[in-house]
Amino acid sequence: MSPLDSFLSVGGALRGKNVVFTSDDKSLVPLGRWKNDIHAFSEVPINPIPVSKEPSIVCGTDSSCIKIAETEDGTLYAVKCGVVFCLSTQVVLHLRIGPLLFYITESTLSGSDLDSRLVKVVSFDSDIAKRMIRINVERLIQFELSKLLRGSVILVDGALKASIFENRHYNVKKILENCALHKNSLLGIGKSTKFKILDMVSGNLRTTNYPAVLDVSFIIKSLVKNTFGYNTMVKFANNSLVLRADVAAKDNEEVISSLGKIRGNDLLPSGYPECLSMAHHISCFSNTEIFGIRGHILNNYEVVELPSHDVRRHLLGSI
Amino acid sequence: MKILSKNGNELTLIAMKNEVVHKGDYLIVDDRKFSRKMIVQIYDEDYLSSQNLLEDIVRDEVILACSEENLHDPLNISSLSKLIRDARLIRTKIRSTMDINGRITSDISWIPSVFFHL
Repeated sequence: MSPLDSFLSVGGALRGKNVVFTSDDKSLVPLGRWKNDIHAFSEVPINPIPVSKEPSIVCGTDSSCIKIAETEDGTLYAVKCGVVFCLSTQVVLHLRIGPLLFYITESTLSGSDLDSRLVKVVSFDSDIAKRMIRINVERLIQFELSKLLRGSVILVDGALKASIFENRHYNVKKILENCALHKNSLLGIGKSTKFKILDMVSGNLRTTNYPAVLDVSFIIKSLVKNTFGYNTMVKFANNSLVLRADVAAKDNEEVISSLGKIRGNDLLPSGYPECLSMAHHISCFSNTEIFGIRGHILNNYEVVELPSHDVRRHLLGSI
Repeated sequence: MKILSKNGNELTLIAMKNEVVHKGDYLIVDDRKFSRKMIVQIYDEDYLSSQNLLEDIVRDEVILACSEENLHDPLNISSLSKLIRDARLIRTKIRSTMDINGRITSDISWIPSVFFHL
């Protein structure tokens, strides 16, 4: 019997199951709920989120990073960031930062705080390099926001957790310290989760018809290291999707209060904070920007553009 | 300006914002390598209208309509992007050509270099 045999006998294990067909780059959840949602967790309390009437700034940050060019010994990346400020359910200001260029080589990385093994990985793997750039740029912006704002809510796209790529001068811990000093709240909001168990646990939350929050810290803390704050599943509007939210707070009341500030000050179309959605759109690269960046590089850095060809297309054909 | 395409007796050029021409103007396309010239007349101007460009413009306008913008663009890439968005297609008809001796002819069977001089 080969080691793969147990996986290959699909029929028996699959028979009678509910199925959601997936697409590589999309996160799909069933409309309604899975047939066998975990009822063992049905006693975990679901807390309603009352709207906060107190006007507070809610700001969302996001970034995107693309590979622009390669050289003999390095790679050139461009990064863009968006910061959006909402107050009393209105978008009041947005910042468009970039495009900024990052040239990553082993020698440019050698001056950083990164471990020597990480330097190798970042200089050879462009996906990891993009991640490193985004984390650092986003953390720097969040660090500055946490110093400038008072009594506000800072939203981060994704989970609130420490990364090996963070700079010690402006990592999540430093941001949280600033937030505590200036009475700001820091929240990480994710559109989806890779932990399927959370989909199952949040079955009851999905069926509620009011904005509510469910604490799932007992699951997240057992699965992931380096997470901060309360790990929750949250539903911001009556019939919206359930989101993952990490809320840096000292107790459960503060979690609900921070989420209430978002309800009272951010727009929540489809139950997702508008400031995060708009920050995402601002940070996306447009086609004209990519041409503009190429023009800037050719005009300013005395580079020589070499002709190139698409390896996959060359080997596999155009179809 | 640069030549984008030739279709029959029509030549399509691309012009940037600072290259000012008008409908009805005559242009001489000078192919210096072969000492030949082509005389074309502008009959229409248009914006570049690719789907990507349209999406970029709509997205930016929607964002600008939502709130005040504060831009931090130290490399001034946005001005280059605007240049691209302002590029125009100049549609022309080939009226005649000039041969190596400067004589006007009706021979439009050749195509000039894309990098012509005006």
